[in-house]
Parts: sequence; C-alpha cells; structure tokens
Amino acid sequence: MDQRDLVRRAQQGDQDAFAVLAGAAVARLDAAARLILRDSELARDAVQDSMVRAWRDLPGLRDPDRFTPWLHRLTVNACLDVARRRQRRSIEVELTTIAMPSVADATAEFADRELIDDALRQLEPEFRAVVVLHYFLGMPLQDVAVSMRIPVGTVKSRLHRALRTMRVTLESADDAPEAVPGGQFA
Amino acid sequence: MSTARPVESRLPEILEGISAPRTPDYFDDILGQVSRTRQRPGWSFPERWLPMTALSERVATAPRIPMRMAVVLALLLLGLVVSIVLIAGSQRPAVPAPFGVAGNGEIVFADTTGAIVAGNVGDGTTKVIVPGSGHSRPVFSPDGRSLAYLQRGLAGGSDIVVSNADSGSPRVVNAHPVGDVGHFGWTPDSKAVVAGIGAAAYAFPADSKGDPKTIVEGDGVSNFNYLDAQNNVIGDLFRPPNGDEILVVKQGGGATGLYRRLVSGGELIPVITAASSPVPLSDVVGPQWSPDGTKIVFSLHSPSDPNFGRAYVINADGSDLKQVSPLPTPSDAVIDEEHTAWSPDGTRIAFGRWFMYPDGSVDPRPVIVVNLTTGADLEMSNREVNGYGGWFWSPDGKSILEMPNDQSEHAGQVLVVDATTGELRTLGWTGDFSQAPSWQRTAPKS
Repeated sequence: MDQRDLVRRAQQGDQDAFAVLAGAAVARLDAAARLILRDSELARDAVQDSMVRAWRDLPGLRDPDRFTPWLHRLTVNACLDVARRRQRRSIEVELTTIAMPSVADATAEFADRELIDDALRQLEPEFRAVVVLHYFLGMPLQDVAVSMRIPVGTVKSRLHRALRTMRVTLESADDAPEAVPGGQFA
Repeated sequence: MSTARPVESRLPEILEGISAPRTPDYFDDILGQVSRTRQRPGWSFPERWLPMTALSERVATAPRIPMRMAVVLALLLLGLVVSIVLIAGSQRPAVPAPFGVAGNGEIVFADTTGAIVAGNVGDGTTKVIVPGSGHSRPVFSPDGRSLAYLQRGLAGGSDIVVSNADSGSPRVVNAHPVGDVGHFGWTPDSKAVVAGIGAAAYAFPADSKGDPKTIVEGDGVSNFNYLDAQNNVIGDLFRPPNGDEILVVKQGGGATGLYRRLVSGGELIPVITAASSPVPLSDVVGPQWSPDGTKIVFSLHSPSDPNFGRAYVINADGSDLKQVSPLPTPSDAVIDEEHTAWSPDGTRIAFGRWFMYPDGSVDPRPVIVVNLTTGADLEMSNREVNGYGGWFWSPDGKSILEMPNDQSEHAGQVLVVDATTGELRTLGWTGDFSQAPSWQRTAPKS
C-alpha cells in the first residue's frame, strides 16, 4: 500500500494506517526537532504535539501527496512554538550522545562534527530551523520559506548567517594552536 | 581542523551524525495519545463547508401589521435613522482611505508572554492593551479604527478577536476555532478580517460572529496560504483602489509568469510571462500593487542562475517594464533583490539586496530605497537589518520600521529609519518580533 492510500485510510479514521505513516516519519522528525531545540525533552514535546495534531487535522488535508511536507511543517512550527514558550527558560543541551570516538574514528570529520555542533548551539532556533529544514530534511528554499512563513530572502539571510557562524567556528579551530600532552602548544 | 570541502556541502552528513536519527522511545506514547484523540470531522474544516454565501439568502416571514400603524412606525424610524446619521456623522473622526498615505498612529505587537502591547513611536512609551498570554498577530484595520488578533483557545485552535483600536469591546468573530492561520489581515473596507486557514483564505465579518466568506481557494496543503487551487502563488490581495483583483504567479506548464485575476474568480490575465518578457524570467517573486493600483513591483529571477534576481516595475496592463534600480549588475557576483515594497505615496520602492560571490560568501546589504522619479538608489544606514525579522513603511511614508532578527547587536530590537536621511533610532522595545507588528493608519494631517 503506498503512502497516498495510507493517508486516505488515516483520513477516514484508520489508526493503523496512521501508525505506519507516523512510524516511517518519526525518527527523522525527532532528529530534526532535537537539532532545532537542542533538548530531547522539548523535542519530544514538539514531536508529540505535531503528531497528535496531524492525526486530529488529517481529514482537512485535501492532497494526500502533500502529507510529508505538511508533517514537516507541523513539526517545525511546533518546535518554534515550544522554543518561544520556553524562551525565558535556559535550554540546556542534552543532545543525543555521540559515540566516543575510537582511535580510528578520531578524524577531522569527527572534530568538525563537534565544532558544527557547537556552532549550532550558538544560533537561535529560527536559524537552526532553516538549516535543519534545508540541509537535514532536504527542503528547497522556497518550501522552507512557505513552511516558516518568511520570505525566501529571509531564508537566504538566515542560512547565510548560520553558515557564517559555522565557518567562523571551523576557521577559529584551524587557527588555534594544537594542544599537545603536557599542556604545551605545538 | 576542517577538511577542504565547504561546510555547506558537508552539512547533511554532519547533521545526520549529530542527530543520529532513530525511532524514539516515546513513539508508543504518541500512538496512545492518537488512540485517545478524536479526529476533527471533515465538515469542521472551513474549506469543507464553505462557501457560505448561500447562508445570507434568508427568507423572512413577517407577521401582518396594520397599514396605518406601519406607515407611522416607518416615518418614526426614518426620522430616528436620519437623526442618528446626522449626529454620528458630525462626531465621527475622519478615517484614512484604505490605500495610500495616512497618518502615523500607534504600533501594536505581541510581547514574549503573549500579551498585546501598544507602542508610541514619538516618545517610545509602551503599554499593555491586551493582558494575559496566548495572544498573537495583532493587526490594525486599514481605517485604523479596529484591531484584530488571535487568541489561543483552551481546546486547541485559535479564536479571531476584533476590538476597537484601543482593545475595547473585544468580540470573537469566528463560529468555530480556527487552525493554523497563515495570512492575517483585513479587507480594504475594514469590514472583515482575512485569514488564511487550511486550504483557503477567508473573510470573517468584523461586526458579528458568523460564517466567513471564501476569498481564495487553496490546494489542500495547510501551508498553502500563498497558493491557489492550482498551486499558483497568490502574490498580493486586493488591487487598489477597489480591492477587486489579486495577483497570481504561475510556475511551469509553459505558462510561468505574473497574472492578475478578479478576487471573485475567473480567468487569469497575463501581466508578464516567460514567453513575453524581454528579460530572462524563470520566476516572479513578491509582486505588489502600487498604492494607486496602476503598477506592480516584483523581482524577476533568471533561468541561468536562480539566485540572480532584480527588482522590476511594470504597468498593470503589462506594458513598460523597467528595472527599479539603475545599479549595474556586478561582474564578479550575482545579485538578488527581494521584498519589494511601495512607499505609501507610490514615489519610492524599497527592497532587500544581496550580493553572492563565487566563493559562496554573501553580502547582505541594508534596505535600499529607490526614488522612481530621480532613480536615486539609497542604502539605509544599518547594515545588520536587511531582510531578517522584516521591515515595512510607516503609514506616512517618511520612515521604515525594521525588526532585525539576525544576531547582530540590534537583534530583537525595533528600529525606526528615516527613509530620506537614513538616520536610525532604536525604540528599546522587546517583543516577539517573529510576528510582524502593525502600524495604525490615521487620517492624514492636513
């Protein structure tokens, strides 16, 4: 059964069909929410909210082929709502634990991943959302703009700003002297 | 240490590594919640039970009244109505026309707690006019006399509230809670609130709780709010001065271009298409009517480089296409001009501009104001506000309000920029400026 049929069945109240649809999407949406919110508990709130809302409002979706972008949009908006509600609360990072690198894995890529992780934390949720929608969920900039209800130019600006932050972080790391055992610099 | 590949090309795999997608342990909880949640019936979505125009066709059956009594009552009623009209007419303050230059009133915005705040640009003071949480998207009517905003409902969804401009006499104008609201504004006559909900845009009468009227039908995707039933982008609602046309951008199918159409429906009338355009055209972005409704401004994107875009102005009948800014396209960069907006008097056009270089770096410029008479291309003074949280003209057209959301030193602030001199003033207000504030229009000062 293809996605279109599943959506149609779910629209008619078939919870099993919705479970299949949700099961196929939830891992990526949970990951996207954690990237945007940098907090597993908040991400859980956002994904639960968007999923329940998707189920509740599914009969209003006229084009079953748009289910996936619709679900992405519900999730990113739930993330931004959660972020706004918690704006005054310090959001502590409790991101997915990254496996400790083995000696063989202690590569430049792993170092970059940590640096990018740090750079992402410095961004506001609205900026992270643009990065996640475009680079993680693979949405074209026009779709990001529609999803977030901002002009395409603003998407470009936010992406530019976010990428600049990442580049600066990476370049700073390149420029910093490498620490060596004994606390000296190479 | 970083590898030689640019960061953006490595981001997808890095984000995969950081987030490590896996089915979360709360997935069963979600399914449990779903099993306990009732779906909204199809009929409860406005797009399923609208249009409601037929509801206004009501047949009244009046009791018989003796003719003599009826005549006397009618005369008394007529006298009363005339008196009320004369009194009201003598006391009613002048209101601005729905389009064009107006006086500057207060600015309303939602703060971070969900209260609605009114601010005075002149002295910088603010006051909470709708206390409590759960309020958003305040917007003044074009005549400046009413305020509409969203109020989060207890059972999910939102209500559309209309009040006097000072927030007095609030009333809910929707019969059923509304879902995600995209576009939120007013009809030009200030008689109805326009909300993009689900798959369409609706007009909710401002004076009563009733059934809305469909303005534009969408394609069934909740985020449609800028698309019509054929997935064409709705560029701008309500052509001045009558408000009877909308702008539509069509993509693909050999018909890419800008069109206009009656609000009530009907055929698309071409303004400029890829086939007729004298300049390369792959997309039309952000079209907007001039305040007098005779011209349209927009950005044209090129097929050879979708990042390349220049602002153009054209007559509404499709004649006299002109590039807005005389600035030559640089040879060492691509240029993108977007967010085009007419000044209220129609003499200037403001927009955002970006330069993008071959190494991937981007140079966002400040808001640009081009004088259509002289061709002067003026950059506003602040480098850090372009196109982020948004910006718009003041009703009198003398200044531009900017909400930077760019992590610069001005992020989260509200700035007023003199559109002639570029002089910048920070208002020191704090709010949720991911939502656009609204500047009240008042009768122009004579």
